[in-house]
Formats: sequence, C-alpha cells, structure tokens
Amino acid sequence: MTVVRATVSLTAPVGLHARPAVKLTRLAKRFPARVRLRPLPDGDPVDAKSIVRVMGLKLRTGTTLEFEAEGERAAEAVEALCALVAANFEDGEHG
Amino acid sequence: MAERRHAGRPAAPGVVVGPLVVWRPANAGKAARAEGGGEVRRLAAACAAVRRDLLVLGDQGDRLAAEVLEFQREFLADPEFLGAVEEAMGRGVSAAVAVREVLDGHIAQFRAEEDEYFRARGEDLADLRDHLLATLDGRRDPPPALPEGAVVVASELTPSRFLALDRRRLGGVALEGGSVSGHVAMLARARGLPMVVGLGRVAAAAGEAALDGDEGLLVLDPSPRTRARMAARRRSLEEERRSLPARSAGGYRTADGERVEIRINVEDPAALDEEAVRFADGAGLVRTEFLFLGRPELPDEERQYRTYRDLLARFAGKPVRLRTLDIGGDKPLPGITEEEANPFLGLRGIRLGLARPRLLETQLRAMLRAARHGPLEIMLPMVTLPAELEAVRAMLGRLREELASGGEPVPLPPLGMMVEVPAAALDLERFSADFFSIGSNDLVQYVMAAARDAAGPVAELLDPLHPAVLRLVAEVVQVGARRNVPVSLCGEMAGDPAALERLLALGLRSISVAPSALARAAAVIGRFGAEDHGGRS
Repeated sequence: MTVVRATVSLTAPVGLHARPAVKLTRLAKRFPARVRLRPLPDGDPVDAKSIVRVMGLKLRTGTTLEFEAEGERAAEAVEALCALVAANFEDGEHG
Repeated sequence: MAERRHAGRPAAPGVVVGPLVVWRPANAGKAARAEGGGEVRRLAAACAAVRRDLLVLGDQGDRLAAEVLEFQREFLADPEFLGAVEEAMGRGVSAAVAVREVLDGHIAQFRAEEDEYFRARGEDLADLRDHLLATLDGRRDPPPALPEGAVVVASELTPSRFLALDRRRLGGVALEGGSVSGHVAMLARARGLPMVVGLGRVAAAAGEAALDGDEGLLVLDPSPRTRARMAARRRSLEEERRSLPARSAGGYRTADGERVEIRINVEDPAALDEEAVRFADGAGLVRTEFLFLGRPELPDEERQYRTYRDLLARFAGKPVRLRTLDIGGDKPLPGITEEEANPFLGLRGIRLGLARPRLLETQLRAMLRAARHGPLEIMLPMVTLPAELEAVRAMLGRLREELASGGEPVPLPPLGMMVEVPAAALDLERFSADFFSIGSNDLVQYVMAAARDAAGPVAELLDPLHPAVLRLVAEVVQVGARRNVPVSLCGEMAGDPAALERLLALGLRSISVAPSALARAAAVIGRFGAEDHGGRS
C-alpha cells in the first residue's frame, strides 16, 4: 500500500497546545488510514489520532511537522491535516 | 460584628457582595482494593461517567469552558491512556491505583515543562485524575447548592469543580490557595466573575462576604459602609466594562476628541486577561521579573526569547514595551541581589544590570532577537545618569553586531527609560532616550522620601497628587513635547480616576495601567474635556 507524506510548518503562535492538539487528533480520527506525525528533523513518529502521543511531543512554534498516512483515503488525510496546521487551526472541526 | 479582612492576590477583576458558601470537597481517598475481575468493568463505567460529566460541564454556552474540558475528554477516549491503565491493572493493582499511577506520570511530565501552557495541562490531568478516582470510589462530590450571588470559598478548585457550580447563582470565587494563571482564573476572567487567590486559611462557615477582585481582598461580615462602597463600585465597573468596546473603536479619545493612548501593564503573561489585551493599545510595561522570581533557576536566552516573542504574538502587532529586569529594592533575587541596609536606595534596576552585565546582556540579546517578530520596545528601570542609558545603548549596538555576524540580523528597537529617580526627572534634557515613561510609584517614593511599603503616618506621605510630584510630571511632559520624545506614565497613579484627570490636565496623552483598570481609565478619558478643566497646556 502506498504511503503518503507531506510536511507543514507549525506557525500557530503558542505551538501545539491543548485546543489545537484536540482539533488535530479529532480530524485524524475521521480518516480510516493509519496517520502518523513526526517533528522534523529528528523526532520519532507518533500516532496522530492519540492525544496522549501528540501532546507528549510538546511541539513548539517554528517546528516543521511531517504527516504520514497509509491506507484508505491516506492522501486526503494528509492533505486535510496539513491544511489545518497551515491555517493555524482556525477552521478545523468544532465541538 | 466587626468585619474581617483577608488579603490575597487578584485573579479576576470585579467586586461582589453576597452570601458566603464554604466548599471543602473531600480529597480523593485511599485507593480502593482490587475487586478481581470486576475492575476492568468498573474502570470502563467510571470513564464513561466522567466523560458524560465533562460533556455536561463543558456545555454551558461559553467556548472556553468547552475548550478547557475538551482536552480531558479526548485524553479519556484515547486507547493509549486506557491501554496503559489496563496494563498496570494486569499487574494486579486496582483500577484506582492504576489510574493514579498512569496519570501521575503524565502530570509530572507536564509540570516539569517551562512553558506555562504545557504546565497548565498538568493541572487539567490532575483534575481528570481526581474526578476519575472520586467516581471509582463512588463519591460523586456534588457541588453545594448556592444562594443567589454566592461568594464561594474553597482551598483550591479544579476546572471541573468550578464548572460544576451553578453559574447563574455564583457571584465570586475566593481561594485559600490557587493560582492566578490556572484554568479556573482564566474561566473566571472570561465570565467577568471576581476571583481572589492565595488568601490563606479562611475560618468561617457562613455569613456575608464582600469580594474585591481588583484589590485581591475578601471581607467577611462587611460593615454597611464597605457594602455600600462595593455596591457602588460594582455598578460603575459594569457600566465601564460595557462601554469599553465602543470607546476603543477608533482609539481612545477625550470628550473633545484628543487621542489618548492606553496600554496595559503585564505582571505575568499567563495571568493576562484576553479582553484587556484586545482592547489595549499595547503593553506599556512588561515586568520581566516574572521570568526570574520564584523559579529554581535563571531563564536562559532561549527561554526569554520565546517568552518575548509569544507576548508580541498575543499583542498582534501592537507595541510591547519590555522593561529589563528590575530587581533589588523590594524584589530581592537570591544569589543576585545583595543584602543592603537601604535597598530602595541601593543596587537595583539598571544599576544592578550594569554591575552584573552578563545577566543584562542575556536579556538584551533575547529582546533583540524577539524584536524581529513585532514592535518591541526596551525600557530601562531606575536610570539616574545619562551615562547609564548610553552604556546600555552601546551594549545593544555590540550585541546586534554579534548577532548580525552570526548570521542573525535584527532590528534595533527603541530604547527608552523609566523616569522615577528625581535626579533624572529634573535633568531630563540630557537623556537621549527614544521614549520616557514616568514610574509614578517610585517617583512618589523618592520625591516624598517615604518608602513604598511604609505603613502608618509615613504611608500617608505617599501622595501622587502632592504639588512636588505633579510639578515633576509636568516638567517631564513638557520636555517630551519640546523634544518630540513620547512620554507615558506606567504607575498606579494612572489607574486612579482623580489622579488620571490631573495627569490629562497636565497634558499627558499616554498611560499604561493594570488590565483591571483599563475600562475605568477609558471612561475617565472619555469624560475628560467635557467640562472646563482649566490648566491644560
């Protein structure tokens, strides 16, 4: 199965804190594909659907993130997640 | 009965008088023993119950409440978390022991973070832990029934416990412990609910209470006079806050249309009121001491840089005036400041900075680097001689060259000074600062020869409206106007309506006040000039 990857820069002024992290994991969970998130250049990839893992990265502003998805609708998942980060989490899922 | 006063720290502005309700929820007890195969089921049931609770608590119409609890809900739904708990239970411990073990691990990790936002996640998870443990214990800890306008006293409050209180009847929150930067304080500020923390033990069970979230004061059994004063203040505060957005639109102006800049003083960004940030013209005084005091180690350049940069981002293009470390005097820093018989007249402010240049250089480098991200201004405290200002200017030039040759070109931000030493105020022509900011608290202390922390008859000398003080202020304003150097005032004086009117009459057109005083200052300015005030230049 093909693996889809894309990178995006985290520019939200306070890094990846609780509210954006929840938006990110909830968006990732909408896709059946396995989605992983890795801080470049040398971070370990973690499950992008796990708030425990995503918050555990304690990502700061300026970090470049790599999303990697594998499985059904993988390309769509990567595209949506990168768009969410690029938009500073402004128009993600609400609720 | 005589009224009793408890002093604490202001956490959310506003005043309220109402019936006192003391809430002392039971702490999570000892973990129950394992009940064999039923433990996994018990855990699942408790998680489901807590998730329902959080959903209900978060659904109160304000976005912030939902946001604060969303993280807890998402955590609870994470198979990673449940997996870790079940794995611990597999070793034969009870669900409660396992929950505590797993969450305590995460809490410790977040609490060790330097970043305030991440540290706050530790508080969220402690909330979740206590909630889960109480549920597993079968203790649902219902909140007390509140009478109308209740002032709730507790030792601490978690966000979920705060949100469980009946918001239509809650008048104010007074905590014996607590923090000004925690989620509960944030929620209280967002709701316009007065809150005071750090009161120490409050020995009372019932009665009336007056709570002053601007001054950080709880008064038990307030006298008729205190009650009347608080009620009147509450009415005018409400009116002032309602009119703030309209007043700020297009810039704050006097009744005859003159623009007056109102910035806010920042004690600690973590405790900063979002509404004040939105409606202020910028930060007029950032007391960078918050980075240094009460911390196990001094902040390095990177830490400072990130803090300044984030602050600029929060003010979103509005100017942010950072004051270099102002320790000494009444703010000792162990290992840095020295024991002095007369600390207010000793090695403090920029004197200390120049005597310990490495500390100052680290801070200036961080500020220079942050200046790439927005309109940052550097302000020096306790400047007495022009040579002190020039020494820092030279230092900035050198640091900037170093950064540039290291491949990091940075702009040169405006360098200004506090005017708080009478010698500087009287000799201002000789200072080539990019701006002046009158530090009225210290200026009054030095002009009146009365210590800021004095009590009794000496405290009565601390009069910002004394003619000698006003003459100096007028002189600074005139020098600024003549030389085209911006002049502001960033002491408590500007937050006092009567004093502010005098300052406006002296021609001052820029102030910086505590966030809680913003709405009041805007109202005073809006009225100014409506009648004949006379004496204005």
